Amino acid sequence: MTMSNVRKIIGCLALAIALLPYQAFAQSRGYTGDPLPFLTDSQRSTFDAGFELFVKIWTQEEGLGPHFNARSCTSCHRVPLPGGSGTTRDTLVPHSASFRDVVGGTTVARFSLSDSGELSQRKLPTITTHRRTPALFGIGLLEAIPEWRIRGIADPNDRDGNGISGRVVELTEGIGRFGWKGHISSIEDFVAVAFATELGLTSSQLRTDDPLSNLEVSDEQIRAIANYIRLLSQSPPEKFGYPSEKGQLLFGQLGCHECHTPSHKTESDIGVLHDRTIYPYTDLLVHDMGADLADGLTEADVGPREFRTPPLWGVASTGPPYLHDARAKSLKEAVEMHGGEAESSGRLFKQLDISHQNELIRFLKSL
Amino acid sequence: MKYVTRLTIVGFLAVLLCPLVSLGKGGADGPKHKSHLVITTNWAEDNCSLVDIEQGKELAKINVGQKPYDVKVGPAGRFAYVTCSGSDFLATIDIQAMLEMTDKRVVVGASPRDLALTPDNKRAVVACAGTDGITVVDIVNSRKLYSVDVGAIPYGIALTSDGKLALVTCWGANTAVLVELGEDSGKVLKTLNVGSLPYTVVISKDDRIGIVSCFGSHKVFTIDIENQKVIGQGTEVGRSPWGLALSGSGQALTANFYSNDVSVLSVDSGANPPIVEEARIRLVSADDDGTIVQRRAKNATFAGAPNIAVISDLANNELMIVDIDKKLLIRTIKVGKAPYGIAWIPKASDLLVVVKPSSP
Repeated sequence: MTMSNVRKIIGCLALAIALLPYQAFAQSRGYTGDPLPFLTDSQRSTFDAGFELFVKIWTQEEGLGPHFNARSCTSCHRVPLPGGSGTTRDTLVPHSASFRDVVGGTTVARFSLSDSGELSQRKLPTITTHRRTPALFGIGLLEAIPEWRIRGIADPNDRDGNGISGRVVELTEGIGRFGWKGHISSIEDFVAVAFATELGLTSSQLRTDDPLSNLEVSDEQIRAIANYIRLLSQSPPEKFGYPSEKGQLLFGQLGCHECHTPSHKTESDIGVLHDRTIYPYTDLLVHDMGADLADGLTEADVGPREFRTPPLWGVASTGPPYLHDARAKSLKEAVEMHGGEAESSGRLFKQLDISHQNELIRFLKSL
Repeated sequence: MKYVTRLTIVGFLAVLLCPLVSLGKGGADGPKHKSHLVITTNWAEDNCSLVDIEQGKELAKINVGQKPYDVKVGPAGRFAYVTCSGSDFLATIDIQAMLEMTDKRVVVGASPRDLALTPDNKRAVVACAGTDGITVVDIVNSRKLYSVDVGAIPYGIALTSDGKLALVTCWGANTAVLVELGEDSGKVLKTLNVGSLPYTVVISKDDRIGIVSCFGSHKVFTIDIENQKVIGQGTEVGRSPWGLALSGSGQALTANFYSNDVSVLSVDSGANPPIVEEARIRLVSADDDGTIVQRRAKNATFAGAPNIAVISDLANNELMIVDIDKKLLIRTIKVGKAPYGIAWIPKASDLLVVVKPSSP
């Protein structure tokens, strides 16, 4: 028996054991868009207050623009409910390698508001790629995965020789966890960056180049929205799909679990986020996904071929489309398009007969 | 296999087998004339469920396109029209054949959500959330006629009884938009500010008022259609109202997603205010071991009687049959994953639905 097969067997067993308490935990949650269970009254108030800001439509008088892509968080984060993903063309965010946005990134704002309030479409630079709006459900739990755990999974030099070399994104403010390139470390940063680049709203975290510009989003508002997102529960499993034991086995046999790590234990100062066993199916590391998926962009030190492993929980309800630029019209296509470090998994999937492919997809839909 | 070929085979088999299924103890139940049928869209399963609410069971699942959202049934009860929000087309289902007529798909625009049928049953009007417009479809000839830009992320739509005016909710703009629908084109008459996250809309039988459910405001807003204005500041209902249904006899229902209840509203367009919340029915039940079952009411329809409502529950993937007068949850019926749209099938007694043979 080869080491590769031994690793696969161990992976399957680990996956099966990790999922044992899955059902019991799943029954304790309501639905997508719900807050985490067992919030205190104060936390529930925090959640509700943040929700109001999350769905708020910002106006020019409040600072929207002059360049923006959306007027509200829910303009893009809306499927199947507020806090969700974007699944239509209007929610794809354009990015350009030849452009620098107000925070030094590559986001291109499509619309412009004149001083008199006239809306127009901007003349755009050469668009390198589009990025899909990800769902925010369970983000607080991802934030609560301890750094030591993520570092423990990382293997940038592929010392174990399994062909997977996930690495941590090192940022000045901590390790990267969020964004398609894993270049954002905290939920507050994510909110502040989104306000600045998508809505044109300045905050103390991210001022525009104009030193005279007033703060348009207060620290309190940033915190409120961040806390709402932090307290969003993950999508409940099996509300949207049916379980598949065969699919679960295939997930391990194909090596999917090497990057889509099934489970983690959380640590947090916030009680409802602490000491939870969660099943996000991500290692939060960045991996080389091959030339075909490369998007031509570098964020932090994450290159064009590299992407953070997206979580798979809730994947049935937040797509299609899939992948960073929405090129995959189904989960099947998304799996088949895996390249780079995941090339062998994608190839093995394509070699499966239809019924086995369907079982794996069925399993993914149950997460 | 083409729809026509499959229909021919199904029809042939039905004719052949009908005499057999009507015979014998321990055999089939025989053909029954059903009058308590509803159809739901299972958003996460890419199919629809045909459900007998009297027997309390799902009769069939019918495959359609990706992410089916809303469903409406023509007055003859033979055809259902389904917006497939993941495939961007309007699908037509032959309810008797329990099959989608795949050659009648019409691409309408990105992410189609709610739809409304014109009274003559010749056109459908679809709200397309991804293209910020509504699309008018000739459902007889299966072709798109025209589109009208209405505003950010339209979700809900209702028509006046002459089919000439549409009221559309723009979820991304917190507005309700009145649109005049012509033969070959349409135009926006008025855009009205309503509450936050307006999802669904219905229009009263006399065409005088529209009711809009505002998910983020926890209210319904009333629109004076003739005078093109919003009446008052909205009526409070349960938390996060999503679906709306009109009974046709002076009542409406809101499915309140986050408060596990439905609001029963009296609707009188001549009164001031025209909408009043009469009752709130809590949708709570308990398992055999006493565990309280949490629900998420998403959509509602009345099932041919003004006191019987059918409400979809997303948390448990069930339909809830509720007696509005008795304020009683009568039964629940398992359907597919994420039952979003729901429609009662009128004249279902005219359909021939062959029941599968029961086990000996």
